[in-house]
Amino acid sequence: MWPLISVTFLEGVRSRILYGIFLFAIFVVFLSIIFANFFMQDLGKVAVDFNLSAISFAGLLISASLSVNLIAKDLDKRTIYFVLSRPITRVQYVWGKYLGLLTVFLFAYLLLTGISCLVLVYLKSEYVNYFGSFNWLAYLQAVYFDFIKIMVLNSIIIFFGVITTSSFVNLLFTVSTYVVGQSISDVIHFISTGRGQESLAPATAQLITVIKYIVPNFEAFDFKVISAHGMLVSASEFGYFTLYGIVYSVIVLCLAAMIFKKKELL
Amino acid sequence: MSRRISYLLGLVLLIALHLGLYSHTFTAKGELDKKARVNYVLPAEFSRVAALDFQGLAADFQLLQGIFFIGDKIDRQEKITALDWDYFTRIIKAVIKLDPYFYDTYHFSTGMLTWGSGRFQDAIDILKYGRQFNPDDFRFPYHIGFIYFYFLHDAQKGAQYFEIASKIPGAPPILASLASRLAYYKGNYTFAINLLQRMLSAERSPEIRQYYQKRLTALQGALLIEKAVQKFKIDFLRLPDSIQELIDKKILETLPQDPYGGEYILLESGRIYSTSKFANAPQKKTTAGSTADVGE
Repeated sequence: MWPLISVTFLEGVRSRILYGIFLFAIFVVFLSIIFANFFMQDLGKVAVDFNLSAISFAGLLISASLSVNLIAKDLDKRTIYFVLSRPITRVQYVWGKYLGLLTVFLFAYLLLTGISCLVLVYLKSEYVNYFGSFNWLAYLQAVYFDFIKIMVLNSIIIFFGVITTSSFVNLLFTVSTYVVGQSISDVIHFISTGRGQESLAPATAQLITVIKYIVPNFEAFDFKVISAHGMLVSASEFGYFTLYGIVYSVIVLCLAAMIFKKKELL
Repeated sequence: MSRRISYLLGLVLLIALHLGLYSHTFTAKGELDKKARVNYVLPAEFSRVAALDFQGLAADFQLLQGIFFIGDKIDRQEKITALDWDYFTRIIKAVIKLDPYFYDTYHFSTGMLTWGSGRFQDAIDILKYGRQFNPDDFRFPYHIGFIYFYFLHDAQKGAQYFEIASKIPGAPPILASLASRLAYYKGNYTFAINLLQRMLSAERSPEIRQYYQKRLTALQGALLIEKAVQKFKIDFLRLPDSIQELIDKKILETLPQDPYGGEYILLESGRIYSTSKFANAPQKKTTAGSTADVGE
């Protein structure tokens, strides 16, 4: 499986799209230097918002461009036959592709975090009195959880990738899952209020309750707002949220591997 | 060769045309937008969901929208209508729901809604909401206490909030004794001057600094005259007949200028007030319960 991981990694880092996304993210990171100046006191918070959003958005763009095309390209260009003719099982193929993708993301996140840290060091030294609530650990905490989010999102991309051969359909399914997953906790909260119970039919409310267990709760990995204010989660919460991301991804990948095992490759 | 020159010439002409069109469209669109300003703020319940996992960034941009909206009007010395303040309040209430920890929102809105528009209850509501999320920040109860005491003349509630603020680690030591001395400070400009100086020292926007500085200068002028009145009272065992008498008796060297263009007047109580009511003339009529209350 290692060769597959390294090939996927090399294929990813050689992609021109990746560098385009890098340039865009770095531009947003540097934009934080200008935008922070528009604010009065919490300059650190605004700078962190910009930097974290740039990293997070870059992660989403890489997923939507690179990851979505990964399996579709193998099927389209028939390179999958070459891979599967080697002593690699279909299950190993799914896991190898996924882990290879994660190494690409790890590379991207390390690079972007490094650059954003340099910008933050500069801003912090320039406006030392306006970085009161800033905390490096909290910043890295938000990046870490964003990586977990990307980990879950990519497992879903792999899942839809083995179901459909079209990268566009995969993208549509993935975006829908991301939007639903990101807003599901707000919807659940709405249902729990009196207004929500009145306006929704009981069957709809039950359907949403079922969906909440199927769709990942992406909001659980969004620590950008609290991290921008220097707040840290407890060790138990840290472990719990990480475990949730890992368990969900493993389940989705196991399902993807099962489906791919039975899939007829024409 | 001539073909290349005419090509370059054409390109230069096109660039010049582009620059002319750009500056025209920029100003013309700005004017059109002003006429057709919808002043609609997306409800926080919607923008929270629509912002996906970029809520912090959405809050930054929405606050910036509020700062630019009011800041631009202050900068141009335009009339700020009740509808404008409604719009501004809606923006602030949406921002605090997106990011309730963002202190800039409270800092800016409290200053504007109290000193600028006299919407004291809105300012208190916003600060009380923020206090739920920032219980360890003394600035929230401190500002609530100030509004109750200084603007709403409720010394009891003011003292109550100052006491809460004084117990929070990091609060200035003066707050501990302030609660008990509120009666003394009632209507005293010193108190407002201290708060304005605090706000000014934390303010980075030149336009807003100028706005606070103007009020600070006006109150410092009033305080200077009040102190002279007190000295006159000790020396002559009566109140002066007019402010001019303070100058005649050499207690006051020169009369300070009210930056709002009004004239300082001596009230029967011995307090000093201004005919400008410490507010810009165009804003005076539109701001309900305006800052005219300050010196009462």
